[in-house]
Amino acid sequence: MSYIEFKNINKFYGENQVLKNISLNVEKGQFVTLLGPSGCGKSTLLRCLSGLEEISSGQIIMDGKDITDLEPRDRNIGMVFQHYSLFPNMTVEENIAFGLKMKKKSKQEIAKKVKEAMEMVELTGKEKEYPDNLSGGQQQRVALARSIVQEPKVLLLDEPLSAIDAKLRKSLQNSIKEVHKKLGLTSIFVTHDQDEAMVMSDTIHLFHEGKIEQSSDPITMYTSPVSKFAAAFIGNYNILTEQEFEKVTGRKIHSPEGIAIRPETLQISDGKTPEAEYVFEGVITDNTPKGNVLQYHVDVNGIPLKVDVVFRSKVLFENGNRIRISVADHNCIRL
Amino acid sequence: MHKKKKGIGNGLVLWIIGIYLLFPLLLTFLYSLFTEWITILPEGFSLNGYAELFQDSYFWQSIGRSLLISIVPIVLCTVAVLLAMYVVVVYLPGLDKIMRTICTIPYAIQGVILPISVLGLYANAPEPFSNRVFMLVCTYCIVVLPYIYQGVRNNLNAVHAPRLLEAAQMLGAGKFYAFWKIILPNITSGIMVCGKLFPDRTDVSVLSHAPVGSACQRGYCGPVRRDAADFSGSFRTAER
Ligand SMILES: Nc1ncnc2c1ncn2[C@@H]1O[C@H](COP(=O)(O)OP(=O)(O)OP(=O)(O)O)[C@@H](O)[C@H]1O
Ligand SMILES: [Mg+2]
Repeated sequence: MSYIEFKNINKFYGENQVLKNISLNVEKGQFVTLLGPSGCGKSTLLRCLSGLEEISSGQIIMDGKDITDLEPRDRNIGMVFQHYSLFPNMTVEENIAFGLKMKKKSKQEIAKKVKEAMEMVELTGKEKEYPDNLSGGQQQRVALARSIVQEPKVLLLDEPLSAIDAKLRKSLQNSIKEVHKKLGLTSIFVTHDQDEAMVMSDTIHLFHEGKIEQSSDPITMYTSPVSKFAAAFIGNYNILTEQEFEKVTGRKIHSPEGIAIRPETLQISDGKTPEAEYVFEGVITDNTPKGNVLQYHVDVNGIPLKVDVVFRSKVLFENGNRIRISVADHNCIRL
Repeated sequence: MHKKKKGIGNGLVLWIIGIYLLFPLLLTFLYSLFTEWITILPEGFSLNGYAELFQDSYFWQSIGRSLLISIVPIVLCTVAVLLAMYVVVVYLPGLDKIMRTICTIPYAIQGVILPISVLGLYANAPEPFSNRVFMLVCTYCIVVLPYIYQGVRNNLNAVHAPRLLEAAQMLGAGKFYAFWKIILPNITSGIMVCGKLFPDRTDVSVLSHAPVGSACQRGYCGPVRRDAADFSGSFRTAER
């Protein structure tokens, strides 16, 4: 039996069905990510688990107990919110101690635990500060400490990094991972950023319009999307219909839902005859440097394709150049 | 260094404003200590005026009434609005629109109309409704309602009350506890400012000065009777 089990969860807001018969299991100690575009119901599922929202039908089991109808405070779940939600009238220390005070722990125990949590999120020295005097990243660290100090059964993180600027985000990502590793805390993380999901997770559940589109580990998610939506959302894939594929490669394959090809699996040949199954020619229409990757936009018989190559300091081709492209059959994913 | 400079600038402005505001009070106080002030310097220092004043029981009564009438309505109204907003924020967010409409009605009614109609309503009403102090307190409650409501609401919005409530719940606090122990401390200073900014509106002065004030000055705080109703009548004639 899994640690957390969602069984046939449905959630309506009036007429609007936000969660559509979701069943999902989370194992103890896992770091699970709910990934999906805005409005697909990720937060709603998380809030149903936390007890902040009621489900319309279904059942939630945690640690062998039915928690469907419990109040949030009786579930022993920690939550970190997108907007930190720190208590502005309390110092960092008081914020972190709040939950322990609610549980009527002794003064010594509170002091000890608060200190440990502050060390874990690297906030030592900020005990007496008020949240308003901290940066976004630091505030979110306080929120993280405030949750973990309670020793919850599961930690929920609802887009905790999306209000934080890019540089701090990396270090906070690491802190969250560290905390997860050190405490072995079962964690459910919500994001709409696929890169973040890839970096953080043991398992990714891809959401689409209130349903789970695909559940797998990050690498499988990236290399074998099960649907057009998954391919488009995860990998920046080229997605072709059967007809388009035939127009590009001159060969027919059967895949009514379309064919997905990752940009980096398309090879620009350097004169030698490539060994891949499909070889075709195209004209470069544009190129975009993306960090260590250079992306060419290529027109192949009227079909636009994206081709990624590792950036080697100088631009190899210019717009208007005619190039030869090859791709192996196993990289043409039938959706 | 930079920070310090800014501090001095702020302090200077505050001092200037402070002196500007205190100056008339100070002069009035000085004037009250002397029997005559015709030339540049006052003459005849005496504390007799104060001695007489402090022995006058009417004076203390009127001070008491003034405090009562200016503080009680604000406290009452704030408590009522807070209770209502607790329900709105925690249980029924949908009611916010209705709250807002109801609470802004007194604001929309013209300054003179409100007290005159209130007077008409209270005149000849049975005790305690026609008691002048009771009536003033009740009417002030209505007059301050929009300001208090707006203040409470703005402050609730500013601290993102629902978010804080959720966070507190996740940490083991009940909804009621969270509202009064976490939300309230965060909005009290805002509400205080709001209460102090209680506006000096024409209706307020019309209400307190005209029929009620004159009677109260003579120490009469009994029911509002015909004279009040008469007054509202004559006021209407005067407007025409
Ligand atoms: N309190 C509510 N009342 C009515 N509809 C709601 C409520 N909360 C959410 N919804 C609707 O439920 C749907 C899913 O919302 P949810 O917040 O779960 O999305 P999300 O996947 O978390 O998106 P985002 O990435 O933008 O946070 C949305 O269409 C939203 O409009
Ligand atoms: Mg969300």
